[in-house]
Amino acid sequence: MTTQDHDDLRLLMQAALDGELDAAGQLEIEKKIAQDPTLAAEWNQLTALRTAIRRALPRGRAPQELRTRLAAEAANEAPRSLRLPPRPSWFALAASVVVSVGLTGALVPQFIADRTPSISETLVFDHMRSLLAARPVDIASTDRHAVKPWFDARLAFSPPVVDLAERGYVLVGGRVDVIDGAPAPALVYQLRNHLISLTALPARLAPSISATSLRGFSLMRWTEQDLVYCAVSDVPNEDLDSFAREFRAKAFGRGQ
Amino acid sequence: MQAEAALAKQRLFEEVISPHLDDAYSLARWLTGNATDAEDVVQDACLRAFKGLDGFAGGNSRAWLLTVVRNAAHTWISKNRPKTVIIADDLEDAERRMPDHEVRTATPESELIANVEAKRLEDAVSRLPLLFKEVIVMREINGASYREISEVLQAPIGTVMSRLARGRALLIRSLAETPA
Repeated sequence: MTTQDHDDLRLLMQAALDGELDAAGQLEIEKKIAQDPTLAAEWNQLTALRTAIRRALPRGRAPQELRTRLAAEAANEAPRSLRLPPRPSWFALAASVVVSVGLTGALVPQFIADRTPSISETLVFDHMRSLLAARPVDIASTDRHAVKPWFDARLAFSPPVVDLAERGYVLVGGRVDVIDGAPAPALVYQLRNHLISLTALPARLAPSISATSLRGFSLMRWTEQDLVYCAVSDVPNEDLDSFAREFRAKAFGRGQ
Repeated sequence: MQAEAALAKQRLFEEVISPHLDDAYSLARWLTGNATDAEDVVQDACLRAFKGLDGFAGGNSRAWLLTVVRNAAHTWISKNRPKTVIIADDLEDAERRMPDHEVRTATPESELIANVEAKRLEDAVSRLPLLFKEVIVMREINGASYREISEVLQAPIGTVMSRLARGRALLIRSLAETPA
């Protein structure tokens, strides 16, 4: 085997170690490793290094003081100078404790692990954020003839907007979320005291979205034509299911 | 308008910065080499973002935060540790002078590697040239994907892979040497 081949295989071994190969590629490289003692020795070194790093070098945690200082800065409306506060700054710390108490309430999204939130999580967080905002919609209207054109003027696609008031689901309005880096239309309905966000996304995202339950909110989804519809709310699951049924029946004439 | 800007700032912190602050701090900690400077670097990067510079434009929020923190760290390093900066040309030169298979002259037992003392491993990572160190830290300590790292470096995934390969080879070699 030439040196060049060997260097290429070394790159592939990195990708295999890092879980970046598809199943076929993974099998292929494992076969090569099994056949070649030099590669096998290097593979063992790489996995040993991985083990050692995982054991000996854990990811650090940001100091609480830094987190608190940034939270205070974020909450401060007036533009401030970019000078760093002298360290340690007990005054700033004392002031920011008050702010952070407000910020660490149950509704602030804190993602679970060191990873990017999934689309499902983003949908739930967007719904949660809308509940925290001064109003949960960008356009407030119970009139579907106002909401639909508002979306059409802004987005490449929009869901059908249907009136479900007689079924108990009152249209509150619409807002635009950003999901997977692209704007997405969300309808907001109200059932009793609860809001339901119904976000429409391109159907290609459907495989990355799963029904889930997160921080007391449920997400259910279905695909219709070329959009995937995601409903998020804190209403009981039966209510969310019947909302989906009613919406589909009215919008697409399904299910009833 | 002012209220909107304030809200945007708060959302930036709560949704984009806060969830990934541990990752951002860890990266800065390894790149600067100490906790105090790491705090300054992360804070600088975040304050710039609060001011609307380097704004977050959607997409992968962790990759964005790691990008602004890495940039701040590089600025800090060029100011405070100018000797450790390797510009891209030098790096390619270094790569030509030191092909992968030559890095591989030493072949320590994998058991020795797996059981290496934490302090020694930490020293070995700290001594890596910056451009190898940062990919190793992002991959192994932040758990970032190739795509995320390539976004942070603004470099193709192939570059990420070859720097990882080189960084790991250098680490393995340095662990094989007798401790000083």
